[in-house]
Amino acid sequence: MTDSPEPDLLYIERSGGVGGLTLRASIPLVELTPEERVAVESSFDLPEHPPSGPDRFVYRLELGGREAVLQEDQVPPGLKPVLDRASGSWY
Amino acid sequence: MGASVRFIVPPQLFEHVARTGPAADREIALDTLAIDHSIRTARVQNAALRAAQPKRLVAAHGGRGSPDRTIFDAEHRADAHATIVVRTEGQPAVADPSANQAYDGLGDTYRFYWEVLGRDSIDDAGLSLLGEVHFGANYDNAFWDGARMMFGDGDGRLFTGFTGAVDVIGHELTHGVTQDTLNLLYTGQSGALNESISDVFGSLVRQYKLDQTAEQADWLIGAGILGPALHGVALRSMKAPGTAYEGDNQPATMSGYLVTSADNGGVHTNSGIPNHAFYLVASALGGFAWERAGRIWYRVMSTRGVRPDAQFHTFALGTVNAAIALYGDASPETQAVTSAWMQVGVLMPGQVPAPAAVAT
Repeated sequence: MTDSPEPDLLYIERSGGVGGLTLRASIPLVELTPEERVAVESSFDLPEHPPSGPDRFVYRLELGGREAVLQEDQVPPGLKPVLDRASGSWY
Repeated sequence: MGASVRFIVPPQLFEHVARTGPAADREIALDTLAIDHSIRTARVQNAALRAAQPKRLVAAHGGRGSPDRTIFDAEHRADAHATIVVRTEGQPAVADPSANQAYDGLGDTYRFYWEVLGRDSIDDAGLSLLGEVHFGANYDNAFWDGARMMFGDGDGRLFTGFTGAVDVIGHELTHGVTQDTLNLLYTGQSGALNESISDVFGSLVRQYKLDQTAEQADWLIGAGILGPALHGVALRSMKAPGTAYEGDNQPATMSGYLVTSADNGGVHTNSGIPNHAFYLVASALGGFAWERAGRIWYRVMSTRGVRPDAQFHTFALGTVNAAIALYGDASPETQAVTSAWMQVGVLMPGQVPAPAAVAT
């Protein structure tokens, strides 16, 4: 987790995949639709799952000091547009 | 096997349940297989019997020796198994280059396992090889889902596609072989071993296809699939871990072991250590890496020489035991294996098992 989490910024990390790259992106909460914000909030209540399988992605979400780790198969449909948006700005 | 059956319910799913599922599920699966085709049931039972015995390491005789491939087009969807078939076994090349590359790569991998290791497909029982191309939208990945090999097209920025690298195809199908043999847990060191074994045999598939010796091989994984945003030559280097692209942080030795929660405990990062150990063995022995180094590594798998939660140290001892069983305790092969694991910091002097303790 970052040292000083910004409450208005959603931090997304994607690791794994056959390439094993760890990529990061940040999305201001104001850019999310109400539905996407609900999906983000609900992800922090999901239980941690075992790996989806070899070479699948692992997502870590961080918001206001809270953290969620989601295996690729575990990503709820409502969250996928958010992750797709992050994919355009990995750093 | 009728094509229509394969498209509706892949029989290998039933086979997997029949071999590994709970008793009640096994009964259902076996019943289904019996109804479907009685010879299938016999094959599952035979495979289960073979799985309980140490496997021979010379080329088997009497097996089929030819793959059964089907390539599907996912049409950029990722929500269910694709049903559109673009190429089946024996059909000529089609207009889609990705489909042809996937077909050829699956064939190269099958041929390697059959001709070099005497293994008849992923399950050593002739499992059909199913691949999906154009999986997902701009999907930056390829993976084995337990039944099929999925190929994304890449986003064009990080990756340009995954069907063009035969070692990546070999890597993915080897995950299936590992699942069928050692079943290594996909986290921490056992996960890194799972990854490394896929890199080892993925690289050997490519070396065998190119007829390269250990000296001639580049020992890269995924050369040629990186997009313009990744500055480098490949995903990983077994010869020089940590040098494949800018930002590559794979360690070559235990001194660089990465403790992280990302990537299920850094399974694609710390795999650099056993990867480099294999490279050192192959380089020390020289010649074709699959003939001795590969055979030693495969023996650990085929004899289920380590448990699913194996750590680097346990696996290292497993390869030493395998080398002793194949070549003797004073052989150059055993010395090369022992030396390699010491060079990467996994084994220390005095940790090599006595010959009397060797489990074959």
